[in-house]
Amino acid sequence: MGDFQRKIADVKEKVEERLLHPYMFQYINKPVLDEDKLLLLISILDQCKLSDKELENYTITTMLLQVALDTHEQVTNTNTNNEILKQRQLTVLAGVYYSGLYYKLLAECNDVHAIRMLAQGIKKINDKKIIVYQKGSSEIDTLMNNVKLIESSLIDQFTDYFRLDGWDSIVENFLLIKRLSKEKDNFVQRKSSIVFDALHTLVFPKHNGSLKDLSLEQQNYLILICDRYIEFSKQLLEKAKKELPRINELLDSRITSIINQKTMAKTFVEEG
Amino acid sequence: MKLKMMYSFLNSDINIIEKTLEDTVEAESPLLRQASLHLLQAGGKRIRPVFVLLSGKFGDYDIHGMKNVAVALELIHMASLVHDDVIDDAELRRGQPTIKAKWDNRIAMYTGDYIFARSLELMTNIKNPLAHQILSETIVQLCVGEIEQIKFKYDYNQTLRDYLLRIKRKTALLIAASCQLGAVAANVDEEIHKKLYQFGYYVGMSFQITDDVLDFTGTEEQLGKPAGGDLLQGNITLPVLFAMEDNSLRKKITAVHEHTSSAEIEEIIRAIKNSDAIERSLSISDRYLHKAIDVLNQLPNNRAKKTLRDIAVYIGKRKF
Repeated sequence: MGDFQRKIADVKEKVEERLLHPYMFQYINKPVLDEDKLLLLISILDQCKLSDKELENYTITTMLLQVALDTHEQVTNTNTNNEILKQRQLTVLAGVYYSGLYYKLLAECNDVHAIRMLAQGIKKINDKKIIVYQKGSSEIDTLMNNVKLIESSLIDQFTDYFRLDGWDSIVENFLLIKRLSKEKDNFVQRKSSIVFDALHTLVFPKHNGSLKDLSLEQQNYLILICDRYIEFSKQLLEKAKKELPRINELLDSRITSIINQKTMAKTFVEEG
Repeated sequence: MKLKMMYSFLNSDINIIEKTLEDTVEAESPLLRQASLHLLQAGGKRIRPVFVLLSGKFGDYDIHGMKNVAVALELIHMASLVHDDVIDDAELRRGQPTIKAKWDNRIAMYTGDYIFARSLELMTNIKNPLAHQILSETIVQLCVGEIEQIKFKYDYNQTLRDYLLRIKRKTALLIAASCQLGAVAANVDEEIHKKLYQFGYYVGMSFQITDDVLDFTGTEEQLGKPAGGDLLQGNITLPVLFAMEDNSLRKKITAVHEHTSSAEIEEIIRAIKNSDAIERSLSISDRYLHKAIDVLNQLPNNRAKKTLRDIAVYIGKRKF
């Protein structure tokens, strides 16, 4: 294992250690770390001449916050029985607990500035999440930009702070492609997607029904729009990658695999 | 005397706190602004900001620095209420619809997380690392307390110690931190800010025990929710622990579960009220109150000290 891979594995192990809570894990799913975000974050911080301890603290706390956000995304609106209610209760508390750990870890290191940076990221993300969820974006570009910010704002805090030119575009487009691909899968398979819900309102403002009530033609039109944004983001990602002076091998290969993923094939809704 | 009258000399500073609270929840999303303002306008005693300001009066008090801590603590309290309402599936708080009821769980989660982030952002205007160590530890413990509350639901074998540890985390630590952080932000000596922490801790314990008693003795109108809600939800509080010392009552109480009818609960509440459990619980609350006042007596004399004493007595002895 190379140095870089070892760094990733070390951080991952340390985050997982902190997430460990035997009682909660009896009822809620063990959180899954977004390894792409971890890879992006370590790749960025690796350029910043930080001490190992600083790099470790920033990555652990950012990933704790990401897990906290992802955990709260699992809190649903559906009515539920007592056993599932307990799972929901602990899901809410798990998210709060992981957010508390981020603050505690940085407070122990006296890093008030990092506490502020990440709090600002969380603030922006939740503001944008409500806009997307409530279908409050005025046009498709704004919606896509909001989704982009939801995905990238935590990591962008570091690229902005360390003034790392070119990395914003890598992070934002990489993460937008991933998120849109996931939303498209949710739409195609379950007709359930927050982004497609918002897109649906913008594209078919007079359609009163839900995503499930769309005609095949309407469904395919939404998919087409999504695919175009994915394709456009791939072009931007490729351009940004070429413009960076250096990039580690692992991230380089992950970006290449994201760019080479087929967007259009077999994703259209077919009759029958 | 009404609570607000006790600290009326802080009125202009409290107005600054209210204004800062409103400014702080100024979000881009109109719905988020609306949800946050809904929460702010539902009121509340603002007891934590008051403790911050009064504790700051023991040092170099400057409202423009103090307001960061006071508002941050109120926001942390508010964020936890929003999340708690999702946890409890609560429709009403202080007689008003909760955010999860007015909108939905997702909006409540995003709003709670946003308010929490805003509170930390504001708090970082305080550069003293000690302030962050105190607050972050408090937040983690607060959450552990809530997890424990779920763990101990309908657990009739829990001990008095389990209960006290739980209310310490759930309530007392945030009040203790409010007192200590107000003092730390005003550069008060360690000896004094530690005493203010102890004072807040004892007041918080007394406050929560009184709250747990009121859940049995208060009316639905006073409480803004049906009486006996804690027991019905499986939260074993001090009056219940004392009542269970009577074997026949213990049998009835341990039979309570999620689907117990309100008529059965009412009968149990009546039985608990007729036992000595309420009186004994209030006596423990009183003991904490006396400890709080003993600590306060060790602090330098000033107007804030007298007000802290008045507030402590008020919230320990309140009737609703």
